[in-house]
Amino acid sequence: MIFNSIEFLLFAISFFLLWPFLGKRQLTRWAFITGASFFFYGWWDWRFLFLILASGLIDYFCALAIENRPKKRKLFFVLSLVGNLGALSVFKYSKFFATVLEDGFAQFNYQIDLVEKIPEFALILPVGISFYTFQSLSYTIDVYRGRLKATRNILHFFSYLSMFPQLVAGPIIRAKDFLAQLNRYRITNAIEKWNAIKMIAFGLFQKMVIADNLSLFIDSAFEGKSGFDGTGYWWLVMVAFSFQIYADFSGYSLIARGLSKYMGYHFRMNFNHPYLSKSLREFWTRWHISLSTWFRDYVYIALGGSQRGVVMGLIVLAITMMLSGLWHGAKYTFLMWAAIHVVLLIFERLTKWTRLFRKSPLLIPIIFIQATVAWVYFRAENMDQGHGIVKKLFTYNGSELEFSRVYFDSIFFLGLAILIEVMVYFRKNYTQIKIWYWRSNLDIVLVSLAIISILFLRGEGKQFIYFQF
Amino acid sequence: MQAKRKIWMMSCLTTVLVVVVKLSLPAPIKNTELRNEFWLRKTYAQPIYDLVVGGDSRIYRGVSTHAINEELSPQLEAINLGYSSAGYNQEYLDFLVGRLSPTGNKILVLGVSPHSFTLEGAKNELYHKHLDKGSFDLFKGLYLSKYLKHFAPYKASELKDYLFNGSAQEVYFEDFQDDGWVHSYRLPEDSLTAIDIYRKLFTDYQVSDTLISNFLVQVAEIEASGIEIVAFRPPTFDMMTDLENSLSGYSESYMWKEMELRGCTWIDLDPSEFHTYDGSHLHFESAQKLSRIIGRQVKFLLDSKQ
Repeated sequence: MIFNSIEFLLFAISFFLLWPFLGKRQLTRWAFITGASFFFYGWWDWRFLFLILASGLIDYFCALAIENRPKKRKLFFVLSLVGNLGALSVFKYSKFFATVLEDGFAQFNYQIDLVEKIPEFALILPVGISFYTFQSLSYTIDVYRGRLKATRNILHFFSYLSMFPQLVAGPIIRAKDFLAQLNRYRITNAIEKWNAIKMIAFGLFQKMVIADNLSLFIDSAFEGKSGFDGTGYWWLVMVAFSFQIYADFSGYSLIARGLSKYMGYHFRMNFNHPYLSKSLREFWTRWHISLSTWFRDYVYIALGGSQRGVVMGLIVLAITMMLSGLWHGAKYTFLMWAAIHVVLLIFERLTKWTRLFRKSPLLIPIIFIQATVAWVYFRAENMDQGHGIVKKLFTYNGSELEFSRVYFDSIFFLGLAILIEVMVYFRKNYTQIKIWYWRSNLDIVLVSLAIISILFLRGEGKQFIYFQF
Repeated sequence: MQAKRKIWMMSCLTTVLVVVVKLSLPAPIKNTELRNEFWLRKTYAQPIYDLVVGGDSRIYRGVSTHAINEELSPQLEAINLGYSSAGYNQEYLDFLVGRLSPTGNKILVLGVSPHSFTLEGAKNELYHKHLDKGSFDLFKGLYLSKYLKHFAPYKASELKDYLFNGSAQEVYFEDFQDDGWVHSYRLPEDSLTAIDIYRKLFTDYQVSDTLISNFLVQVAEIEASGIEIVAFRPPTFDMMTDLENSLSGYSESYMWKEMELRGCTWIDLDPSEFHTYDGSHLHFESAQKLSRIIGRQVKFLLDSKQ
């Protein structure tokens, strides 16, 4: 069940009609959230429920055991890690690891056939597995580190783990932030409701109007169906993809935040206009913030961060980024995407070049171009396609503009997406504009326009890109 | 301003804007809800028809059963069950035959184009796509689409044309009719549009002899069961007909002869009397003309039975 569907609209209406009645008492609230979330998730394929149940049960009992049996806490912690990462390895990485091994042996003229031997069930990727696995893991890690008390109530735990607004594509919420919120029932006031409506409307606008209208242009280019191949064409395709993935994922996060806000809960911001960053480091503090901070807290800092000298700091940074690449998918292209970021981040950290031009707005397009070139591999079907597109971006290959007529619709929405970011830039940087924005109640008009655009300008409904992770 | 008042103002403004859009703009050229409902109604059609039309996109754009009925008195319960790239295999023919009423006149009209005998056609992807839909998608397509169709989206280029030129300049007009026909035309017209696509298509896929021989066996069985088959090759642009004759491996004369041998009625059509908008599909006026020719043939068949 995806947010931009009629089934979800019916589901959400039913949920919010029942919420004031079933949300008040603690146990019924947790049972209601868990039941509704399982229904939401099982809508894709009810068999996926077994995995989230198994993953959740392991962590629930391991966390209790870590607290109750201090002498064996390490054993239960390892059990939780093995359970979660094991499930992730089987369902997400088995084919990739098998291919890597096959390729490795092939280098020494040994032909082995591992991919064929993977059981069929392991080739199915349950929706959102990386999101809830990381969420579940953070719970046991925090309990193990003594930063969080394990919850005794299994429904309390599952209402945290399976919370439907963020279950399949984040933001990845932390147990120490959210379990306490789940303890209480709050009657949302009008301001919270208005903010929730704004988030949902803007999120749906980003997804259904911007991202979905860009997809035809991008998909036809990557599938080789467009017939255009010039340098300008490929730059525009990649800029469009940068905005598509941003609008798609940021849209999902905004809707998730809006839904939870309407319930009276607060999720932290997951995207903060990353394409307005003036350094790649800043980009990573604005893009998929819940994942970046997860890796920062549980990998980067756990490995020593920058406390162990410059070289070790860079090595830890590289490891963290590469793991982040692998988190996105079991493909060489994701590793390549991460590797480009590693190189650029290391260069930035060593030279500190962005600090020299800190005040110049020109840094924004420069950082955007860096991110855009890296996105080539994120979107490419394979490494060869990625290399080919990068080559096309940096070697002149004609300047035909016929594509702008054929893909007028997509290019129009790309222009709109860029315009919105430019307006946000001015609003953030010019106090007068900011004051005028708030005083003029422009948000009423913007929400209305967003809803009208969703109704009458939406693109062809597509699944959210991040569901595949 | 208070948040509560903001919510009310936003709701009112949105309602006003929806009314303004609905009143000031013509219906969008493409309506996915209507299209979805159209295909689902075909796929889940009941066995109540006297006359069923089968074939590929040349048929669902090229044959209107309303126009067939203009030639008939009394009129027949009729439906066009053509699908994009439909191919004649056992499953599709069973589907067509299965929609005929056991107590009706039992007439099957088959558009026999070269593509409907390729392995690509035999996959019947569009038919399966709709047949395999889940129960909620079915519910949505069959019962909610009548409400959702009012919120069909526009394309930005469409709005640009309305604003600056008063009407759409580049249009693939499709009006999904309740008899399974799609009333179609295209602006600007270009009879060469489909030529390259079909050239590539018939380089990759040839007409399959196995599919043709299986089809002829099934045709004989259908005729033997008391169902009358009327068949024809859907007319196309001359260049397209020549291209298909030379590249696809399809022989119209062979098909004509073999079908007549099995008791079918073959309608011989002169492609030059029809007009396509893209080289492959008939302009709606030609589609109605073709349908009336079929209607006259069906009338003759029914009269001779009596």
